[in-house]
Amino acid sequence: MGRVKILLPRLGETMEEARVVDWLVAPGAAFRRGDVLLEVETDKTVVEVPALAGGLLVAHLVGPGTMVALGQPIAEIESAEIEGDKIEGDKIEDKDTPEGSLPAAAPQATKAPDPMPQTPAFNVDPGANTDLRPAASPAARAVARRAGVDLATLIGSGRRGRIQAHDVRGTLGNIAVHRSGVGLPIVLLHGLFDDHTGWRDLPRRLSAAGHEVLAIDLPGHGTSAVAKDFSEMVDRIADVLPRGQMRLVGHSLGAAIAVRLAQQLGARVDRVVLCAPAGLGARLNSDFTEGMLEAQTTAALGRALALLDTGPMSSAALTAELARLKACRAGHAAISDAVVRGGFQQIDITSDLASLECDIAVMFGTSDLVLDWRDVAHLPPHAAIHLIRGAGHLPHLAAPDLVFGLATRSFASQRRRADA
Amino acid sequence: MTLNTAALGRYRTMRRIRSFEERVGELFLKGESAGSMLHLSIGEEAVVGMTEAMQPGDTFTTHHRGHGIFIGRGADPARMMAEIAGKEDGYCRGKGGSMHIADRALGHLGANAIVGGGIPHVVGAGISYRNAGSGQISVAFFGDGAMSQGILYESMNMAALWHLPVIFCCINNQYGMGTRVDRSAGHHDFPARAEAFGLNAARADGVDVEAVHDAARTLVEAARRGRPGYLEIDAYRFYGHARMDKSPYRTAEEEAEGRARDPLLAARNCMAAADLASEADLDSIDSDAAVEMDLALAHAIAAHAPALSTMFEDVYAPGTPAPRPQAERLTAILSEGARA
Amino acid sequence: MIETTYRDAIRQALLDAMQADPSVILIGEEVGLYGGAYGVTKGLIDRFGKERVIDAPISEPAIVGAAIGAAMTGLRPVAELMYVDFIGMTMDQLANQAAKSRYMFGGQISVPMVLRTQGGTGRSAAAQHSQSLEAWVLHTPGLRLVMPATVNDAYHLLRQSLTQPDPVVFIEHKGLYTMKGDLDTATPDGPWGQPVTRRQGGDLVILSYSRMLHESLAAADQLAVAGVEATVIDLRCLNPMDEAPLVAAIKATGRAMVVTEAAVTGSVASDIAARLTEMCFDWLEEPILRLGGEDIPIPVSPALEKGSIPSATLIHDAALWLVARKAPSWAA
Repeated sequence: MGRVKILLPRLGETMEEARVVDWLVAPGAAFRRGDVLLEVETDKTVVEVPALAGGLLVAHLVGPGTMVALGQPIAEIESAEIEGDKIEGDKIEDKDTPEGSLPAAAPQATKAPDPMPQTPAFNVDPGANTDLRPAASPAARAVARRAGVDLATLIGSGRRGRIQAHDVRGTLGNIAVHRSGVGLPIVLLHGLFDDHTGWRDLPRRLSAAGHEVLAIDLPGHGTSAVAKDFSEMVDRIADVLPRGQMRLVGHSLGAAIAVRLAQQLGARVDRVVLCAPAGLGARLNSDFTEGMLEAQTTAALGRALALLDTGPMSSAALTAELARLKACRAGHAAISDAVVRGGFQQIDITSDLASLECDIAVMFGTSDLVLDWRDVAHLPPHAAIHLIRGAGHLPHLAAPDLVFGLATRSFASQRRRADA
Repeated sequence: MTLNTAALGRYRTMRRIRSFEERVGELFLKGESAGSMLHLSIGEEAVVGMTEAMQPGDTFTTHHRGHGIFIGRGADPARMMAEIAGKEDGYCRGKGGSMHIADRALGHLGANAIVGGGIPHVVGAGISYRNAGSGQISVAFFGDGAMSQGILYESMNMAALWHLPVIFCCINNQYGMGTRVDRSAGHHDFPARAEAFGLNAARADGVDVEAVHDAARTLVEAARRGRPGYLEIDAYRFYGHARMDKSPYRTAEEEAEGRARDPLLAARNCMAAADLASEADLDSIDSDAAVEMDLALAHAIAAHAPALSTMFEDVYAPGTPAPRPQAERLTAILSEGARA
Repeated sequence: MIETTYRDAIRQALLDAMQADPSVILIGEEVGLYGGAYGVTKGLIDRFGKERVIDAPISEPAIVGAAIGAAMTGLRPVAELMYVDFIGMTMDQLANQAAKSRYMFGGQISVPMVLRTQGGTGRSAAAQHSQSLEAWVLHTPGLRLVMPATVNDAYHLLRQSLTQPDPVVFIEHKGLYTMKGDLDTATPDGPWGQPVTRRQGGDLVILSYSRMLHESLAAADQLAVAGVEATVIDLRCLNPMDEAPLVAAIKATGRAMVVTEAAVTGSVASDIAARLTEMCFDWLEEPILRLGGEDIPIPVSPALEKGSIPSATLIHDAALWLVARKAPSWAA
């Protein structure tokens, strides 16, 4: 025998409360399962509340005319047929803390919500402080976030003074882009320790052939500010790329960046030209990276450059090159540290390459002493591989007409699109 | 059947309807109508027998072929024609056109381009009149095509159930667009359907406006006492579905036979036979109607098109916010003004 | 490759489908003897007989309901709703029955049917015969939604719709029926569910479908004269929709607009603009604009009707304003 409270059950879809019309079972009277205990009036109609089990009605907890919320106790009963908590009710033993065993929904329905904390933040007129946040396009916010720029320090050139992405980039000044020519853009990305001048006369030839050329100084190189890792390098360069279609040409580390960019840009890139790309295999000749970073004399630099296969250089040229390297050494060290460690490459572009849908053209010298040309085995099957017998780690300088041709040729995929 | 001067009036209204519809065809041919969805009621003029059984204050809804019904209830042909031309001083300010003419003052609760769309509204109107004890009735006019709409039967049932002062008037012109009644109904004794719901039902020959009127009067009287009714006017659609389109779905012989069932010709013959009017009297009625409708046509052509800004009016009630024009929205986004 | 009209391409698709698959039937008002209100089904009854080309009474809910039952029991019905404006009458059958049967019945019962209908303005057919109600369909999970803009798509998307395992609502445009174009029955424009880029440009992306595609392309040509190059993408299938190419295009330009003929509030364009804003947020320089019909019923007066929906001029002006910040004369 359990003594339980009966709660007001849900008697209609929209019912939240009901008024007790009358009790049909008096206190002290026995009832059977299915007997009507009372009538209540909901928002729609008068309904009977039947007993779910037989028992003895101990007491009415609400009288006729009372408005009762859903889940509120309406009567105490004694029942042999049920355990106290098996019907819609709590055991009478829990009388002192009735909320403790009410059905889950009931406390929320009956309990007043906690008062709103009266902190000043809640009292601010929502329209009052909009000018505290500068107006900026989502793209500008994204660039500023990546570069750590405070938008409040900028003046926007957009509609109604809105800060646009190029306003943020303009203040960064940390990616140097050397532009020339007009036409379908070709982006040139040099290798580790190099800068935009390393392309020699390729930019001039490309712009003469009707292209806009963007020769970029990688972060930590030339006049571009350093980046903390490979993906930040990629993001920062992405911020300065032109809109619309383009082609990417990269050397070594620049080639790895080109692949990651192409993967992000999708159909906007119709071909990547990769000269001795990094990121294909595990190893790299650490004599070269350490030599370049540590050279304090033209002789030491000469030994490192010999691995690069630059060909013979005059002492004047070596002196100038050493001065250039020393000026950028902090940036070079930071970037080098991010991409090479102990003779092992820290970046892997093979999965990016496998998912590229654009044309992939790769040049490698078979006498490369920095990277291993046999890493081309990790290229996806649709990549075109151009091996240059006897060339070293600068295949684009060994075969300038080839890289020019690969960068400018109209591509098979484009022809297919045009035909369609 | 007794002929009297009222019959002459009915002939006049039928002639005015026909002249009006002929001018609507001309309006289209002149390139002055708003669109080509013009459904002419030529051949169905005996509906005047029903409209004349109604009283001022009675209301009605019509289908897409409702010009004649509205003329029968007192429409100003010039404003009607202007509406069909999409002009500012049309009945609906050039918003509705041929298929959506309405006039609250004359009890026209609206013409409808959705088959059956206006039928249930008379049930609601019937509730209003019953509850107010006003003695008004409401009449739904529709074509035989609507006999295939479920909402008609839901409405008939309610009207009978609640004893509403309502009449369902089917102008059976034998065609729902290109489908003859025998190709759209397995059993097309439509009055029997209405009777099955508990309505008074009658079928009248649409060639004889007086027969239609007699049947209508009986039904209307009963309806005013809470006994709803169904009246079917058996007519023939002289022309195509919309304006003058060719009717490849029926033969020339059938058309000739149908057009011989001309309620105007029949009325003339009747009146002449009963010596109620001379040929000359009738001819003068005809020429008056022609002049009136020529003027309506000229008025519609000369009337002004509505100003573009009126398109935002009457979407919601006056005094409440109107829809925001797109130009305003775009300006708010794209203008170079100070930051809001 | 032949030159034909949008109307004839749809008829050809129905004819080829009926010839290839005896389970394909047509049911609708005036689809047989009359040949369709816009002549789309002309002659099909002579070819396939009245058991496969079924003239129905004016009973829209039952037409759609009967098509559902036929689809449940092995036929591939093409139900025709003469005007999309009548879809309200059929909405229970469409939204509560066709769309939900597979789901409610635990995947046992599929409804492979096509509901062909047509919508749009251009004929002064007034408020109940001129609407663009695709948003009602898009808002109902379980229904596929296709709105072809070209002759070739009219053919291929209808054929593809007739291979789908779920109900497809195929909405034609009354203003395109007489449009001519090339039809290559052997080669589809693009795969089912994928948008097609109709024009390439680097300054902004215009997304559209159905008749507004042609207004958008005309606007893009005018924009090119002003030195603004637009990419114009034909959405074709509104559900399912492959968003990847749209995202890629918008990321490339940072500026986009979606053009629809439907009342713009609560429209398909609104939903697409919202989705793409979510996905392209960090690449946007401007809000993705929605260009659509005014939020009003369609007025019958020809000047008002025309003025209530986007035109090539409006699209051009808004695009020039968006990209080149050149305010148009109508700036409020």
